[in-house]
Amino acid sequence: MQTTASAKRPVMDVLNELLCCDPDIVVCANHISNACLHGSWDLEEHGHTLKPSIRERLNTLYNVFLRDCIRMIYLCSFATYIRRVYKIPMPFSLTLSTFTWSTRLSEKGTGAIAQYNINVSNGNVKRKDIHIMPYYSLIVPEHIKTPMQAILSQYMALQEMHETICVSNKWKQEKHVVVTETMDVKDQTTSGLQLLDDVR
Amino acid sequence: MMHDNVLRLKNRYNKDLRNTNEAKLEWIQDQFGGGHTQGIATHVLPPNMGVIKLSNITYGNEDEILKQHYHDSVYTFFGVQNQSNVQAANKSTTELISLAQHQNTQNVTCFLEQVLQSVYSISFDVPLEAVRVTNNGTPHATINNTDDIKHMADAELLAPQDKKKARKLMDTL
Repeated sequence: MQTTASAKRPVMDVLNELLCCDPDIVVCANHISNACLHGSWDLEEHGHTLKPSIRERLNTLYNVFLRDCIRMIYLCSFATYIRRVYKIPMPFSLTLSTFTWSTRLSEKGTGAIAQYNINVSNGNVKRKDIHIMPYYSLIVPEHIKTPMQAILSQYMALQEMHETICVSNKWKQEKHVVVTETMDVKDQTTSGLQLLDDVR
Repeated sequence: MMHDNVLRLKNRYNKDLRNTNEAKLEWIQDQFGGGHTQGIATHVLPPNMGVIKLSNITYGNEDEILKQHYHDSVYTFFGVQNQSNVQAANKSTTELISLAQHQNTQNVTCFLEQVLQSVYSISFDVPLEAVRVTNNGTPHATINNTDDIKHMADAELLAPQDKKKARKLMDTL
């Protein structure tokens, strides 16, 4: 059986496409974002509220960051943020498809069972600037890449079926025909063979 | 004399034909081929061969089932009610899902508060315990429609300020 294009793609690419482009996923993520980020955030430092001007500015930037965070929660179960210093130190989520993650068992004596291992493939992000806050418990099995594993599998199956249907429709459009040849072994008369030879 | 009386098969260009099969082939090629039209080729098959054009492909409803299953899985995973199924759902089911949505929203909001607290602490080098973050917004999941507000108003749960807020909230919905 011929392998479809979607089956050959890396899982991470499909996962990113699923999160960014699939209408159902986008609708659900937006729904949760709208529900959670409806109001503003009150920030207090040592019991004192921030000045309204600073608070408003931070709120605007934090809302963008948190919107990305919500997607990250469902993608890899942790919110990853880095610290970038311009005038104000601000958090940013790692951009999708610029990093990969895995889990590995911790060494003995560290007190932890397992920990995340993040590899940044693109971008100038230092390892020490990456911070992890897991939303779900750590996923240890290697074959489970994401909490969305079941949805991912269904999405890939759906894509594969869709591609198969498209290929068969295209094949049909080219008006394929079946050529059959019948031969009666009981009636191989000289005239019959002569007739076939003439036509050939 | 005998030779002149024999009728020979000839085509329209007065070319001799040996037999009727050759005449058929000549006629077919003259009518449909002959290099006049590009992309058309003629093939003459022996009598014992047949050509069958494939019938239309009919698909089952497996893809529809798979698609529906996928939709349901996505909305269940995110704890969001599928808007296309709201009409079919009865009132009690809608309320139950709304409660689940509300709890889900609260959970995520609490987590985001912790994330912001940690982010602020690291960004500005402030001890974590000195930072307090709260969200002062009302989650949308608590009030779905005007009926909910009406029930709250009938139960005299809304103060005048709350009514203004509710009106403002419905304007933003």
